[in-house]
Amino acid sequence: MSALKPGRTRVDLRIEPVSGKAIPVYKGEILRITQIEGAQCVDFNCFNLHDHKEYMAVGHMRREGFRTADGRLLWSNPPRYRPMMKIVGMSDTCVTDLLGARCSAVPFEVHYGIDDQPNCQDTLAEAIGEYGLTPDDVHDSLNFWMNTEWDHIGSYTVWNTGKPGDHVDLLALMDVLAVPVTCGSGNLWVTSNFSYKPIHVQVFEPTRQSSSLAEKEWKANCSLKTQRTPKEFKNATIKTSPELKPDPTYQADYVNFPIEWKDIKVAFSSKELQEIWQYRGLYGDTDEEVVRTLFFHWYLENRKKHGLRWYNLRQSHA
Amino acid sequence: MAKEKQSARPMSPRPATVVVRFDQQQRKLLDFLRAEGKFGSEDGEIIRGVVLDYLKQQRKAKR
Repeated sequence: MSALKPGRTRVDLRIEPVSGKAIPVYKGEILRITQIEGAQCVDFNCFNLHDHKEYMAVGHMRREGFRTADGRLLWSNPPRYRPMMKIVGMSDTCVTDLLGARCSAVPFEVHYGIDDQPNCQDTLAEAIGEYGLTPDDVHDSLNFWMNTEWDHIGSYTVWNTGKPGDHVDLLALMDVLAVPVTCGSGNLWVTSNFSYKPIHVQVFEPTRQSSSLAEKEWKANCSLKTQRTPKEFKNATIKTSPELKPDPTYQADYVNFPIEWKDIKVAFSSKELQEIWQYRGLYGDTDEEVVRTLFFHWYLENRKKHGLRWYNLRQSHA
Repeated sequence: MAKEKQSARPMSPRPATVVVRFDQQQRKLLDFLRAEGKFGSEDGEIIRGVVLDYLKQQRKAKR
């Protein structure tokens, strides 16, 4: 569990089934989500409190693994790609999910013939409506206590392992609008073991330790040139009209376009070439393809910086 | 397709020059390695050195 001692309680809420709450959590504060009865899936959205176009990018978090874990960061959407929160404590029985997106009303009408089933899309939309956001602003959720597994076809949900008293602590690394909701599908799906339960949500004020950690994480993970914010956007104006029409004066400025190729001569001896040929078929059909692929295998294994998940090319062939 | 091409080749290849096409972003990696100095200074030298080092690593891993 969290090594951080929480500060004074600023927010203390019981969130009833099929509801939620959008809660500002300021940098250095800790949001705690606790199971009251256990086995309740909690869907979670997160926005930059000062710029709602920056929000948690679950798809990009998925690049680090299909689940998140204690100690991991909640990242925002590229090109910003900044750390929003850090998981600083999580019960072992809290299984997280980054695959399920969020439940919505449509599948319930399709699968059950029920057209008014509570669901996370609508619950999240209602919760963020308090801040002027619309149903379109709901994004894919990070799901706490959602036990997802996967196979060669896709993902599926199994028995919820959450226990009473389980909790997750999220340290805010920027000011965020955090939106925990109790999942609306858990009564008809196994997501919450076929019954709804309430959850307990608290926000703790910053302590010297939590503020210091938030600043340290922010500095450590937010110093890249490529983490771009609207001040660096070519067009930072948020479009308000829903209709899409081309701008005849627009000139696309693609990165490093056009690509400039160079043919490089590489000399090999007879013996060397024979060894290289062992990889024909596996790493390409031509000498050029094989040599280039071997070069990149070497580079990835010997020079790639292991920032996120280590990508092993050999595993990718398994 | 690959097998056909392979079988059409002689068993013992003669020394040869392989022409490898790199784009400007790929060449940035060559620049990084050039700055290290381990594999030489010419693009072709660096690619050759890296490929041979990779083959050496693979031989070692198999042992």
